[in-house]
Amino acid sequence: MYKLLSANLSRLKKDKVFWLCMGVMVVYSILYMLNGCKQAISMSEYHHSLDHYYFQFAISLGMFCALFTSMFLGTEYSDGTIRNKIVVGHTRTDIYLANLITVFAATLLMMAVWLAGSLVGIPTLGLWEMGIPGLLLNLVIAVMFAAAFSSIFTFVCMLTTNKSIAVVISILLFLGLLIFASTLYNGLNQPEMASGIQLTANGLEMTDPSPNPAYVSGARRAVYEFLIDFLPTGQGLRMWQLEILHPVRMMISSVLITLFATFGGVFIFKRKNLR
Amino acid sequence: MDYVLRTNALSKSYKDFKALNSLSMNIPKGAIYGFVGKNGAGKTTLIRLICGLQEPGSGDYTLYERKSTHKDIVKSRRRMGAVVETPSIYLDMTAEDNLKQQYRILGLPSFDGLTDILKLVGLENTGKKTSKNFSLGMRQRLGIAIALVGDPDFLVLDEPANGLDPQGIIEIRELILKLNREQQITVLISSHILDELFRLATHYGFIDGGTIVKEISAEELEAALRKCVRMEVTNTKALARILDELNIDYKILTDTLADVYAKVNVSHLAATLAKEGCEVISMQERDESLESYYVNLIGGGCHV
Repeated sequence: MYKLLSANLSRLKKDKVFWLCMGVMVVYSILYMLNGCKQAISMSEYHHSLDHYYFQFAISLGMFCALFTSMFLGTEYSDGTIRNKIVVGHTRTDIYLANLITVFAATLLMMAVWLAGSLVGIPTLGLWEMGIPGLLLNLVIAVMFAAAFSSIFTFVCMLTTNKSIAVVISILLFLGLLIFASTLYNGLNQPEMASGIQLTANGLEMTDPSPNPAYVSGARRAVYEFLIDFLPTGQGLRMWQLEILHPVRMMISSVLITLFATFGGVFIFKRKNLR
Repeated sequence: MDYVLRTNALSKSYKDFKALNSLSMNIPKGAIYGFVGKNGAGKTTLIRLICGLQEPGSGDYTLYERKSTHKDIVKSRRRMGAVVETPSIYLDMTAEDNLKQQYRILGLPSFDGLTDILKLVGLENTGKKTSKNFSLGMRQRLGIAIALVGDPDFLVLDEPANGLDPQGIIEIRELILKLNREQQITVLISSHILDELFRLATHYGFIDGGTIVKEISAEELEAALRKCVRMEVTNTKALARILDELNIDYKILTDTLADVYAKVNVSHLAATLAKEGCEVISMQERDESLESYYVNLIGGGCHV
């Protein structure tokens, strides 16, 4: 396993897609944070804390993970180099796990450059309002959903032998999960009561509040909340909106997704006919 | 005799298609084993199985005295190098980086011998050129170079001459012969180019329909393909009588045609036949090609 990791990491050091993702992450984080600083200086009503901008990466990390994983692991199939590992006697379990660890490490590095780049906001916006314990809790959750993302996309890319198809599936899967989580999140944010506006002889008037039919309640609301906390994209949304309500549930969900995807992936990969 | 690889009734099916059908073959240590068969005969499937890329449906194989069902079969594979179908190389890396990558995969402590391998395959001057800009022959040679990292004892080459120009084919042939003679590497080589295999192989396995139809050594094959002189005479009975007296092998084909398996003194034979009242109408030196031998073995209508 160590040999495979060493080979993967040395390849990672020269991987153009990885460095492109790293570059985009750091530039994006700096520009995003500087824009926040500019708003804070020019418009006092937009003076948000550092926290407000610092966790924006949570929503986009999965996209970079999907892109990188599918390109990096897809090359093993498109160039046929995965054969070199099997022919010389590495077990498929070792190959799978070494790839997963490499993808996870790359995803963490992308997250790290975002977090480092975002520090440019500290002189203007100050330190984190949530304090160090809150920051650490968020980072632990982020590391864990990064593991979940890595395991999901490793699963997809280790079992899809066509690189182009792996790229498309990974990105569509991420977008699908993000749209699904966003839909649930919007559902949860519907007000319980809604007021309309009506035109009367006295002009525009607010109607009496009436129950909002789009409001999600009861067991359905509990399911929505659970799914948002369960999905890594949902966790990303929660983190971005600074709404970490069930941190333990989120962490357990990430562990379960990681274990399930990895055991399932290894099981299928060991039986897969390679060309 | 020591064997590097022995397969025992190996079978492999893809849905309804039986790619390997109870295939048994034996590759002696030190041999260059030419693996001959038409498209879809099962050559690449067998190579995929022994390389661990796929699992057999039934049957097993023994690689360096270890059965494929043994948990340590991966240790036997460490003595192997292979190029399966297309060369397995990172296209965005240079030849040197590709080799370094394989050194790391094998966990070798240093890059000692890397330059020697590059020289051996003639890629020592490729510099910073990435392998996506290599010619097909260069890629093929780089694939072989990667397979040679770690000093394997057994090299598996699947159609190494595919797509190469005549010069490239010669280079690959020279390389394989060099590896076999100088480093005693056993080579399993599958190829469509029968005449090319004929210049290399010390043993042959002919495969058809997923089954080995014949295993034969180069000496035995050469004997089977021996040269003959096809003679057209007016009386083959007289010819047979005289050849018997001279203790020469022959085969009567018709009343006027016969194949004679020896170099004959034409003047002497013609004079002797004339005394028997038999005239020589024509004489033609012939030899059966590996291709015709193959077609006879597998049956007509084959496209090799």
